[in-house]
Amino acid sequence: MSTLATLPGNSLAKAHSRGSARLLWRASWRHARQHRWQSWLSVVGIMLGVMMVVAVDLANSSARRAFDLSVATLSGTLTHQIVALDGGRVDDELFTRLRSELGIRASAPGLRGEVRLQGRRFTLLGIDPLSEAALERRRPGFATEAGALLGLGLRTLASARGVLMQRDAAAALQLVPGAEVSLRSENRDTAVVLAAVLEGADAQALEGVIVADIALAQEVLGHSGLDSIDLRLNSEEAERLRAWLPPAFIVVDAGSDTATLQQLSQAFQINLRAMSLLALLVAALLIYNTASLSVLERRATLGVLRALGVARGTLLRLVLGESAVLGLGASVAGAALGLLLGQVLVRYVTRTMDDLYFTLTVTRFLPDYRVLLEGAALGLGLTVAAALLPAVQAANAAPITLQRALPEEYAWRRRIRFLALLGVVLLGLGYVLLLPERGSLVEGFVALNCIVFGFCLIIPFLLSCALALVLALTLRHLPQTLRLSLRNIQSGIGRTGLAVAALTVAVSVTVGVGVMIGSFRHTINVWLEQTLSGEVQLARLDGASGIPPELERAALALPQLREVRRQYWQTLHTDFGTVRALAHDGAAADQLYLKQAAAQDLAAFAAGDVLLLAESFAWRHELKPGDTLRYQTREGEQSVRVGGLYFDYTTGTGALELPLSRFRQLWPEQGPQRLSFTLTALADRAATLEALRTLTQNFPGAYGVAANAEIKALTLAIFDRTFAITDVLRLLAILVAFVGVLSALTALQLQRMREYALLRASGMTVGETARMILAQTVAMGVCAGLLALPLGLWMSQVLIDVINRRSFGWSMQHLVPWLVLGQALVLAVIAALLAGLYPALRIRRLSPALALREA
Amino acid sequence: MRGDTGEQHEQQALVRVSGLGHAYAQGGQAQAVLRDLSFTLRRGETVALLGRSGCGKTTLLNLISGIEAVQQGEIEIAGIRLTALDEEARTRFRRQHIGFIYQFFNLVPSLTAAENVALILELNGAPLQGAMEHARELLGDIGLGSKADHFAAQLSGGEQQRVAILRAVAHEPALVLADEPTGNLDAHSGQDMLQVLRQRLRAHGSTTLLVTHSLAVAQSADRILTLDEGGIHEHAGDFAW
Repeated sequence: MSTLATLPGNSLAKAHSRGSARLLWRASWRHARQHRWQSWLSVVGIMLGVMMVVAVDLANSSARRAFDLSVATLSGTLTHQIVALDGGRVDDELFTRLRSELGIRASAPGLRGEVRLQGRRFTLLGIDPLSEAALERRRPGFATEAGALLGLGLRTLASARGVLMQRDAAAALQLVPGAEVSLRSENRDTAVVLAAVLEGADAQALEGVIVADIALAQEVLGHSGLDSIDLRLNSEEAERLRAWLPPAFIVVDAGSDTATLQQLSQAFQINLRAMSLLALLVAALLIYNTASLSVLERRATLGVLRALGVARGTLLRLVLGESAVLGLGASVAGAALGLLLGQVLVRYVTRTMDDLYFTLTVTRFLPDYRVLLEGAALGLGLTVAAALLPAVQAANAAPITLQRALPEEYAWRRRIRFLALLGVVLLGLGYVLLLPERGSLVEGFVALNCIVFGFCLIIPFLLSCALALVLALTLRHLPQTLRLSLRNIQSGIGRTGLAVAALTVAVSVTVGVGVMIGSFRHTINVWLEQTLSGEVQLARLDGASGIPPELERAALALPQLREVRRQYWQTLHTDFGTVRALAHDGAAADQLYLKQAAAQDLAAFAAGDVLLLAESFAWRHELKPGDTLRYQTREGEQSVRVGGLYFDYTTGTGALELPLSRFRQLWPEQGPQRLSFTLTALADRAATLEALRTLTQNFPGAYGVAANAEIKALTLAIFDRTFAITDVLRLLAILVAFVGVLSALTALQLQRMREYALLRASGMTVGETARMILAQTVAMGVCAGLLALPLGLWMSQVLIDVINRRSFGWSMQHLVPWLVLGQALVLAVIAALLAGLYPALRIRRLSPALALREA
Repeated sequence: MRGDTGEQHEQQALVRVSGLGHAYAQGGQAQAVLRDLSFTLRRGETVALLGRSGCGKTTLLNLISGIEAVQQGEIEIAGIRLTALDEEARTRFRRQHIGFIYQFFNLVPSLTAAENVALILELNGAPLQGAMEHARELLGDIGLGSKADHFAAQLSGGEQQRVAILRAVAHEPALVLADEPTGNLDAHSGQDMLQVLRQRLRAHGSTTLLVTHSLAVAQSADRILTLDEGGIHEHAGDFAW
């Protein structure tokens, strides 16, 4: 019996045992070139997706670094701080006593405030060089804190009225050392001299900072005393200090409040990241579509290759390799574009953080180049992952002699039932994940993705059933072109279902985010209406002990004003960190937008027995009515029962409402921080505001006067600014989806060209065929638009009740803006119509005879 | 019935099929296509296989080429039992030792004529440049040198089939399986194609199993087998379809 060795064979072929199959790659490349519009759309889709992810990540990381750098520059390496219990100033004398009586040398005075120089905002940082050297505080921007700063500080800060600025910031204002400048703080100008500029590796950390000697800083800011005494202590020293400290002061852990702020701003950033990932998800659908279509088109060729002896693994690698090449090019280009877009987005992110959370001293773009690599890797990975299923289909392609005439689409009819079942399971999983009242933000996003994916998987089945129903009910009444269009959608359900699903997801994002933003805006509006009593507000801006009673009396003497409500606030140190304690002189129900408070609790509040908590603060610390909150007072620790919750959309470390009687007990000297006046019937608002402004100039301190309408407008402007980035991302997500839909629908139509040629050959006119194509894509657009409405509304519910709640602790009213829903429907139809235009135009040039021959 | 029983013939046998049975599931029931089939193909001979449409001719080629797994019986090619090989091994075996010619040519549309021929050589490990040079030589031998860089769509049916023949024999396989190779060609092109096929087979001494409906084609073979009712018979005299 012979063996393989005895078989004849070409010596050339036997020279190597394993082939490299470069010809297979060449064939792939030519196929991609022949279908270049499809390849380009894929590249554009992935590129946009990667660009969004990279841009958002870069903006986020840059903003986060700016935040960290700002915190580090202003506070440096500390362990503890001494602050005044009432949120006021710390006496200079306490600092002297701390050093002399307790011998704590690792301490330095802390003082900062906002100033303007040539109209630009800066943070004035007051330092004492000698104490800084003893504290050994490390801060970005000060190269060798103890040494350089001490030398520089002694030399320059001690010089007459000298301040330091970062080199670039000084250059931007065309300032050179020796220049005399004027610092403006609360309507008062102080002349200083730019003594020197700071340079060094971390100099950018100081770009929004002006450094001055502590005494000069106090003069510029117009007050004596310190914000804090900054310390580096071990736990034993901290205990000793607590025992020694006078009751008006408290020792707090450094950084606990900024951690809360950081947590809040991170939640905002997670929301942005989720949105950018959604765009990449849509791009992945696009890649899947391109790869699967490419495999489908080459079904016969793959069958020939299999029959020739090409191994399954080779075909798998071939299809994955094709997608990887596309993905690599698109990801690199996307990362490069993301770098550019990131520089735009970072302005939105830092402005939001600045508006809502923390005054950033660093606003420049601080790119983290790892993000570029990560984004490109994510794009490439997702591309390859999306191409995996088509690659497996290619590897499993039957050899040509086994291929039956049974089109791929018949197989899809069976698959859609399985997919629908999987979709139901995913929807159920998403629903279950959302059940617990509390949960992590990540779980919330996983649930949201389960819902979106689950819904996507059900769409082909739903579409198929709906079409069957429509065709059955209207078979005799529909015109032929429409009937053919609907049948085409149904017979190509694998591809049409995917296109409709992609469009549905994109449009549902518009609906979901649109409804969420609309609801949020509406809620903010209601909240402002509820909480802004009166018509004109007068507020003390410099944080001093409130509006003097003389000013209040003088204001009420104005004929235009008839009634006043007073609002008080102070800083309160609770077990859950520093919060803003507020009090009003009216009934709580009139002043607050209550969320949860029973009548007896409101009565207890009026009697001074309970306090009310801001909803977001309660959510963050898992507090509820009936719980007890402990806080520090001059007289020691006190505890009060929580009587109820109220809506509050201010950002910060937290807020609570104290009964006025209790507030006055705690801070007897504290005057109101804000007065809300009601105007008389005939009063002219503008004139009244002007009269009030004039009046305040006769009193010491800084005041703000504004009409409620102005405050509302300003608040909503900040709100809109916060969501501006969301709108940018939403537009980009839609663009990616549009590219996806265009690709899917155009591919579908081009795939059917032979069928159309057959119809043309059978007597259908160019116009009828073009109308049939457009009717088909429009019908798909209508289906996607209609399906996007329930998904979008569900998405908005998750965003409002889960994502925002878990991010910020805010709940809000649900408002369905019908305009958003209408826009979504129109958007879906337009996207689908545009996608049908190219094939409809192409049919005009299609020669029926040629098309049939080519096929 | 066995097509060949002599001991000498056994020694010269390249393909030995014994007890081969095959069925397809149809409407949940197994429909037998081949039943207890046994025959041999000797080295270098050309055997025509005749049979009605749907009698299992293509299935038999699929089984011999290892495209489909054997359900019942044995197939040995040059002493290698196909039933002992897994799908991957059968694929590699097919790539190295079998050439396939189809009725519908099945050239890879995105490769030129020369590249289509070179593909099988490259798959078997030949360097691309050498494979391309050899493919051009082969195309030149059959008068298609000027069409070497043409894509399939730029060739006539007869030209496509001649390229397909070169692709099937370029790696000098031990066994060539042809499934109605003239079925899609006019009489003249069919004759041209057969001439090319004979030339190439003679040059390499390959064994050929040729499925055809054409009596003229069948009569040019060394032996004729007929497949009927799932069984195989060697044809000895006149026959008519």
